[in-house]
Amino acid sequence: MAACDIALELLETILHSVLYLRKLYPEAIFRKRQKYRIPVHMSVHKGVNEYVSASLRALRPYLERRLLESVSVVVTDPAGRHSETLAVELRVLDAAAICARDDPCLARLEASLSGLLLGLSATLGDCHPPPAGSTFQLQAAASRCLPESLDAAAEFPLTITDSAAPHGPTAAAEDGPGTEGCSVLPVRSVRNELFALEVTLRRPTG
Amino acid sequence: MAGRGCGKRRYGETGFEAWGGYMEAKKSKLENQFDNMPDKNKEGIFKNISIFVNGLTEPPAAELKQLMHHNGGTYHHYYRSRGERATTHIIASNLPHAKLKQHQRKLVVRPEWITESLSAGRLLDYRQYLLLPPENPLLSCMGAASTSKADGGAHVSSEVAGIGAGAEPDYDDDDEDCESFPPDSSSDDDEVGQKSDPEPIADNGDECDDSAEAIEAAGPSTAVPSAANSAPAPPTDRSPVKRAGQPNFLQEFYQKSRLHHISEMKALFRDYVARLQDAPDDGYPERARLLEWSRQRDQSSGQTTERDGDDEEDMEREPAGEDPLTAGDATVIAHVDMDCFFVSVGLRSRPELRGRPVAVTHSRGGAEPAVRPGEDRAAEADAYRARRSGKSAGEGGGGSGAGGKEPSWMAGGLHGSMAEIASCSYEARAAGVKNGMFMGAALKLCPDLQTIPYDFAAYREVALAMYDTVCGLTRRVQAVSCDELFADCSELLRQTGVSPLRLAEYIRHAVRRETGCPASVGLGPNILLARLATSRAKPDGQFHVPAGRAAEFMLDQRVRDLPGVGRTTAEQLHRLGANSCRQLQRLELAQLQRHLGPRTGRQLHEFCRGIDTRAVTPHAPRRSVSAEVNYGIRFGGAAEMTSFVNELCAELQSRMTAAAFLADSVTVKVMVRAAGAPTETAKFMGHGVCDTLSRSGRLATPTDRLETLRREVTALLAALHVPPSEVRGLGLQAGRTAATAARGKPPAAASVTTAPPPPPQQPAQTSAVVYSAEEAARLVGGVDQPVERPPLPPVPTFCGTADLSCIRRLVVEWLGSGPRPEREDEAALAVYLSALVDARLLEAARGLLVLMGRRLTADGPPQWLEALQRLTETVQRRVGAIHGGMLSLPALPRPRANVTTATSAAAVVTAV
Repeated sequence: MAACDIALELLETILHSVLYLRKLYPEAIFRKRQKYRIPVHMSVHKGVNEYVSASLRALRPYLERRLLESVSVVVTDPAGRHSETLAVELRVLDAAAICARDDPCLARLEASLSGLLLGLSATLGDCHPPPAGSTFQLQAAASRCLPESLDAAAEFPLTITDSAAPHGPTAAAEDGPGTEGCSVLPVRSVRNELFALEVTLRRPTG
Repeated sequence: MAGRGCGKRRYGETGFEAWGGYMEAKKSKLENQFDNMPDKNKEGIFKNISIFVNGLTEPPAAELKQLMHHNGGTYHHYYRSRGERATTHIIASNLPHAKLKQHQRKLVVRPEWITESLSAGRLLDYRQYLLLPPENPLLSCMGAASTSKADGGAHVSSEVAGIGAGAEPDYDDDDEDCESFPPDSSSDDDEVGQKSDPEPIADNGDECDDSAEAIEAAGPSTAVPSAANSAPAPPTDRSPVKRAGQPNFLQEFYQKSRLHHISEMKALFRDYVARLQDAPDDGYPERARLLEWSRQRDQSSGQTTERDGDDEEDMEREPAGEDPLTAGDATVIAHVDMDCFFVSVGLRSRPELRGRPVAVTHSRGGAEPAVRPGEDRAAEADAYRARRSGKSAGEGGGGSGAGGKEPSWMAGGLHGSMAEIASCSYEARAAGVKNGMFMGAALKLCPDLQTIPYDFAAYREVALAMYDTVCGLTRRVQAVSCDELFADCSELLRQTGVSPLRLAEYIRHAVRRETGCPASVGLGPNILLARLATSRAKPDGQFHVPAGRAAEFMLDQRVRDLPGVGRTTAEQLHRLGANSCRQLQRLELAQLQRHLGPRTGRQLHEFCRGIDTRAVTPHAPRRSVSAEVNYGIRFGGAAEMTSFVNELCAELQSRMTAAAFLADSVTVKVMVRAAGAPTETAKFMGHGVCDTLSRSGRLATPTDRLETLRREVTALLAALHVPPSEVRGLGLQAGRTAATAARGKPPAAASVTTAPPPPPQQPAQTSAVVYSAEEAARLVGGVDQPVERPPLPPVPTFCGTADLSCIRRLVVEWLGSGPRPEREDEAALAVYLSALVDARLLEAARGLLVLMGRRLTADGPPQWLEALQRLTETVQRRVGAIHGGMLSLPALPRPRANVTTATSAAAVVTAV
């Protein structure tokens, strides 16, 4: 599905930018690349690239079945406390819309996506990066679990986080002991024919 | 051409490589020459001292070399910075500015140190002779000092040595706002929790104000006495004393504040004791020594006859008369308290002052300081008196003229020094000098009072030795402060079979052996009685109150000596007719509770009967962390205050990090100049007579984040509406409730910030799918049923349009539409904002709120500000429901009138 390809490419770009902007890896492993007509920083470190792309590949079935709710970068500081979560809440609205390859639609799409990336670097650039030595984890929230993705034989098995989504966006409404009281900073929202996407930066109050 | 910039010329092999180069070889040769000079004296007062003479000195370098040679020292022809034979002191009388800067971090001493040490026949403390202080930012730019050739050196050194030199008008109103507890009782607030406001902003708590006298030390005073006759400029303009709001003010303030050091040490030792609890058992080395010592005592005093002294003496000095504890006996608590701690530590290096009245203070009792413009001690004293009498009259008892009392600092007359005495020797006490008294007053009572400066490093060292000694006997120790602790000795006594008084005697013996300082020990069946016993034991004695004699012992105790009874409470009790515990015991519980509150009443009712249920707690979790400054605060404007508040927040946060403390509430305490008090206080840069305002707010989650603290503090401060120019003191306290404390992190070493950054992380090996707990239960069961996500609402519209730029224009127009917003418009906007949040367009909603906040200034029409506040709350509620958090917004203007909503944002979240 074309929409899924675009969404995954966008997610990949966002994740790389986040790793760069939140200074989770040294700047040296990033190179400037052009995406959606604007320069973004993408990693050239093999291990990092593999981790990101394999995670996204594993999420593809969820995206195709419209089960994926959000993808988050959960950053933990060296003391093991939750430092911040950058959550990308995503819905594919109409998987078929892109099939009509008319230019105005694509141009609008491109504009909205480059706007998203610009907003990302503007907002995240202004926030204090997490403390040096922080680690991160990619977490995805799905409305339902696909058993095959958990299979250890799969190419890149997913694991269920036992922490009951301490800062994931979905668990927030129901319970989540640690979720209430986090501060939500909207980074950018995008709504186009293909998908609706909202990027927020959540931090424990502060 | 090989010009200057072409780098070093490279020499070929010189033959000196084996010695580390030519210069090294030369230095070694010269040192060897010196060492091998004929009739060199290896032993002498300068043993282990090596000097390097810089510039012209009196006596000259050659003579100094001879002096060192004959007295065991070493003379270096070249300065050696490293190695085992490094130069220890640079000797110079006068240094050019460039060298002053170069030697900033080294010990540069005047040659008088050597000559005077020689004539004294012992090595004198070089600190008195420093030419420039090591790493003292205040005095590092002293070009002037070195240019005045005649007395440059001497002048500088007097300034240096006298951190606190010169008679400084100090002011302290100890007596004003901290009346409820005597200084020493504050230390166990944590455990007792007897106050509604547990730890009165720790760092200065009861003893607050004087925390500052240190700063003025380097202040203008050294110059003032001589320059006073020619019109003195306002001190704030030209003084090197920093005011709050100026860079590095806080850092310097805390560097010099004795109360800061004291509270820091208290925390340090609490932590130390707490960590000891987890340390592996070392078999209590001190116990073996105790038994050995006890045996020797038995032998030496084997012939002692059993005396039938009166009970008092028996309890005090006659350990042989006591039976060792048996297993059935009740607990015995020991209270170990060093005798006039600061003085006895200071006397270790000044044996010549023993037996004379000595006080530890910043002041040196010089000439009377000049009166500063605006200072009016008489008026201040009037304001103070008026306040005292007003207070006691307001408290509704027929106060017997206690209200009109002079403030203690007026005893020094209108011009005496107001530097406070931190500790004074028993000889000085005999003359009527008391701790906390001002130098001016003390000098009147005891004209030959000797003053010695603070030495915090030594206090720390001695205190550590004291703790080590007691912890070598038992680990059931509760740290009270740097010179005071409680130890539960029941188990120790049972194990060793030693009698309590002998143990007390041994503790004093061991402490003196390890520290060279006297300590007193009180023993009793509980903390209260142990403490009261100590006051009977002092100085340098011991006293035991056995459980059986507790009731009798209590009868004669003064009410004032009970923990928790400060001046106010004592006055109240005095009005009730209770000055001693005997009288207090006659009062009904209900009567006490009616006058003093239920908690204090009950506690006093028990205390006066010798009942105290507190146990020795080696590890009491901290309930609060705080930072407070009430010295040097004269804000020039709101900006200065803001920057100072930020600095104080950062200080608080770093203390919280160090203590691994997460707070769920913040208290802001502001001291405001009282109406009628003079603008310039009697104590230079002090706070004078003040009203204290405070306000607390709860935080949504326990946190130690700087941003959260800063935001909350700013909001609380704004709600107090204090004009910056009238602020005289600011304190922040972060607290946590017991429930949070349980969830808090275990205390950790304060190394969080200093840990080296780890190498780039490896990505985790798996990614993770996250879902709610109930879904997990359902889905892992394998039921494959489609889960419907609620459909995404369409992009909402406002006034028929979905175009954001259009809507922003509309909103701006609306804001300018009249004196008050229309109800319908506001409701429509609220609906639209909520819809934006629902449609996952949070960014747009936030943008509109921020836009409105920018348009409306804080002094704008209150109706609009209230509307904005309502809209914000609507959005926050929606965000809470959808994202489970709180929208992060810049500070929006708040309506003035509605001060109680300072914490409403946090309240909304908890409500959701």
